Amino acid sequence: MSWLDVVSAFTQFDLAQASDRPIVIDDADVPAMMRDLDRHRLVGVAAAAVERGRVEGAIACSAIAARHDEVMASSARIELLARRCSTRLAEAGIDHRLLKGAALAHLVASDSSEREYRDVDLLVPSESMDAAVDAMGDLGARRRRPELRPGFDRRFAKSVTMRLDGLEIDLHRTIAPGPFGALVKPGDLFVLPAAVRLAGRQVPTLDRTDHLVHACYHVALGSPTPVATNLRDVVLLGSGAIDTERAVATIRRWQGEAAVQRAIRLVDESIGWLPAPLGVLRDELDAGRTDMVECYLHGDDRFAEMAKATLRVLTGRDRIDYALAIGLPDGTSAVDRVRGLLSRE
Amino acid sequence: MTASSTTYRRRNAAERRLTSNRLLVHAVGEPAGTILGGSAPVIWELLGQGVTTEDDIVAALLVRYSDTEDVIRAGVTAALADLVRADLLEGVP
Repeated sequence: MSWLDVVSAFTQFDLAQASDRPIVIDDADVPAMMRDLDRHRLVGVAAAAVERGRVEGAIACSAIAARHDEVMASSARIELLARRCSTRLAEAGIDHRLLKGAALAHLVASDSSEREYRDVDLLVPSESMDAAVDAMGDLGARRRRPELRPGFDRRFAKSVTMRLDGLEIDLHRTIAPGPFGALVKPGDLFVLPAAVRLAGRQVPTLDRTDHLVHACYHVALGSPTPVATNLRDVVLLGSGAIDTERAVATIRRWQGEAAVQRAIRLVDESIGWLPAPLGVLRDELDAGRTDMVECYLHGDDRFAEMAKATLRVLTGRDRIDYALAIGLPDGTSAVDRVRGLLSRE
Repeated sequence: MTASSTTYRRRNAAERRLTSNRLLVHAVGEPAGTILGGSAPVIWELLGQGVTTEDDIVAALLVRYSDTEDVIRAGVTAALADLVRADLLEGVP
């Protein structure tokens, strides 16, 4: 097998209709394969395949097991940080929802050891964003970049990134960057409660249907070339009980049809099949605002293009204030701050 | 069976199964995790299921394994001591 075939086999591993052929890895391919497993966050899946005797190649098995020890140590640290952040937010009376890997490792992976992740993602209500940043500051976290202008975070930011003990905390106001993120109604994600248990503590998260919508947004808009584990997330979420009627209504309300259709297409191309709920979404949803997807597909200047597209979906005072914040941020070094903004992702 | 009155309680921890039947346990408040091997992952699991004394753990393992009680007890005693030393368990006499 070429190492690209190997990565593809791991992407599809243990999903319904996936091949059960052995995954044969040449010794010479191991370095490139390990780089790709890291990039696509498939080390946990690969380790599960090794444990079940599905991988052939002693050097590859050994490399996967060693790397798995490392990424699981990191994921466990991040899980405990997520728990700590949630505890602090609850103490401060701030509603919140755990997003992405730290939640999905417990919700959809066969075992949490199959799903690595690299940061803590927490959704907080827009009006609580400033208080949430302060609450994380109480723990010792420091934001990576200053706020562009007072009020920008709670009105326009996708997220505020903070660092604590060498780990990253993303406080999300919405679930996507750019115009699609601006059209999301984040309050919708606080309606239905769900929880995951992290080290003995219940931490609030999205319900499965909302996780699926978020996972689709992430696949479609998070990066021009999606990470394989995020494609798996969509399939794994879609393989469970999904309220497709509510998902369709939510996506329409957020004008997210084009984003979700793109995600479903990417999943279909990569995995080769779709669970039934994804087929329903594909058939029920229109093509939507496909013009808005374009700005997400740029490389280096992606953020600038997204900012321009965001301006087009904002109206009235919001459009003026957003343009001011982007064009004339507060602070002593506007050039540096704009440069920092343009490098955000 | 030797009576042992100490009750063991697991600390809250993040857990990850590793290859070769090992288990990573990272307790809340600790800077790093501990990798459990041998019989320790099974003992950790039993403790999580409410089997909390040495005698009860030995009894549960006697059902699973064909070793003699002396052999199993020696392993359990050592593993519990390791877990306490690693600050993963609290022992209440």
